[in-house]
Amino acid sequence: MSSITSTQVVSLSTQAPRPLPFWRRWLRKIEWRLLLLPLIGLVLWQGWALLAASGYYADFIVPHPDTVWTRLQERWADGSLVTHVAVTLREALSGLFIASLIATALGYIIARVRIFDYLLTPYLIFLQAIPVIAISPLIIIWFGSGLASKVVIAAMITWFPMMIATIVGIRNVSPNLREMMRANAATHWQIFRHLEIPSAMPELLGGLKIAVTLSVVGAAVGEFVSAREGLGYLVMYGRGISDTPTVVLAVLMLTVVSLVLYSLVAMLETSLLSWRKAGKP
Amino acid sequence: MIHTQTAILHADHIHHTFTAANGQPIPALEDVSLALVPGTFTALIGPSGCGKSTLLRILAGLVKPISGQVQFGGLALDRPQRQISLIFQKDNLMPWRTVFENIELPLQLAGVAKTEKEQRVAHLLYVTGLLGFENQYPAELSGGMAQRVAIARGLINEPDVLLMDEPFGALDALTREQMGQELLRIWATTQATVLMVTHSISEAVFLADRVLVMSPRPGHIIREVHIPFARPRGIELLTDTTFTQLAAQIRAAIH
Ligand SMILES: Nc1ncnc2c1ncn2[C@@H]1O[C@H](COP(=O)(O)OP(=O)(O)OP(=O)(O)O)[C@@H](O)[C@H]1O
Ligand SMILES: [Mg+2]
Repeated sequence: MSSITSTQVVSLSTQAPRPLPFWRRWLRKIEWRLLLLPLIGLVLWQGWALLAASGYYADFIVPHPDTVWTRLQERWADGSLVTHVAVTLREALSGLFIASLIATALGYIIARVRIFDYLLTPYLIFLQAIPVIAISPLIIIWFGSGLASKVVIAAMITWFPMMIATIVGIRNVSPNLREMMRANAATHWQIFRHLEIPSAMPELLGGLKIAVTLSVVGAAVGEFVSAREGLGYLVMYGRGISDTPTVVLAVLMLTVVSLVLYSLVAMLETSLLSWRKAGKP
Repeated sequence: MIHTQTAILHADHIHHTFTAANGQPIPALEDVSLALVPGTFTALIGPSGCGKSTLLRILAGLVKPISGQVQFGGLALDRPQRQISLIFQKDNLMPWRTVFENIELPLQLAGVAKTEKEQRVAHLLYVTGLLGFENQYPAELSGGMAQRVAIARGLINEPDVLLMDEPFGALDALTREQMGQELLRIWATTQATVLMVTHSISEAVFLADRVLVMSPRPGHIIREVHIPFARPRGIELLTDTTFTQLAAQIRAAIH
């Protein structure tokens, strides 16, 4: 079919306008959210302040939000807040990164090669059944009380959801599309790159959403057991000196870190999976 | 009689049997031989479940038959080839790729340069009437449009052999006629060898040089009807008496 392209030369508008009818409708929804979200936060904040000011609970039990705010300002001023956040973030993300590499590789071969599924899966489930929190002191003994032990604990808590997401994602790849790729003489690498990865992307991102918040939990758990810095350490430190506002501050910061990481993955999801909005009313 | 040495794709005494989930053997093809002469258009017709799709998979090198051999260009076919294009019964489009990106896929896999890819996709968008839809996703297309995207993807590689499994199955009667004529027009500009499965007798007679009729499962070729009409063929052929006679012959062979 040598002459097929030469018979007609058609110019293609490379950027044909893609109508986005859902855009306006979304904008309206977002406006509502923008109003409601801070409102709910304000109500909760005021509820907390009222409860603390009522004098019903001691300041040691329920500290006033203003005290927590003061602690935040202090720790912001001396730079220790940023350090603790950075330490925990580094531990969590390093653990998540290592776990993702191992878990996606394991998940892929388990999904694709039956014998690996048969041989590995029972042991991997056994591994997952060990409560990470219970063995974290052991991890500290083995890996010391520095960065390494926290990374290991964060990895141990995040690998399983990532592996399951990979297995489900790869098993869900349409056999018809596989056959189509094979009919086009695609190599294994091309099938991996152009079919398996994009097809499994929704599941992979779903797994990452779970894993990213768990990674912060993992880092904090490690810091509870033994650490000299990090938000988990700050919780224990505040408890140690009976300064509940510091404990509350550290917990809030852990929550914020989790939320920010989750939102980043959610944003990644929105941009990578924009095609899923197509054809929906 | 066709001489096998002139054939570009040639199947020799193909047998194929599937094994059902309960272990029971399902004979699908029984002693099927056929030879496709370069540049000809062959239609394959037969009752549902007689093994047409299976035969196309074997001819595309996707399935290895239990016994028998397929030769492509004189060599044993042991894996899918870029020069053989298979358009599936289902559109098999990637939902995460736009129309443009779906059509482009075979060129991308073959490592064709960007400008050439764009030129060829643009031409096929025009030919298949999809111009203006290149940035839509498959979920936004009608069944017929999706099938046209699949046809465009099958043609984009400029294959030597085009195997089509009911490519117009998802189209309404009117579009189907139009696409049939369009296919003939595209085909006339190429040297491709076509084997097309269809359920429509008149479509087979209208499009093909030769119609092969298959028996119910296990399928084998029970009849070969030559279609003598000159090309280009117009729609008025449908009322021609020879046309009606040929169609009646094929209908009789099926039942
Ligand atoms: N993967 C498979 N496993 C088991 N049996 C199969 C498989 N594929 C096809 N068959 C059986 O082989 C026979 C032929 O199937 P095939 O899809 O080739 O038929 P067909 O002629 O294309 O039918 P249709 O016109 O309905 O598309 C059918 O009876 C079917 O049940
Ligand atoms: Mg079929």
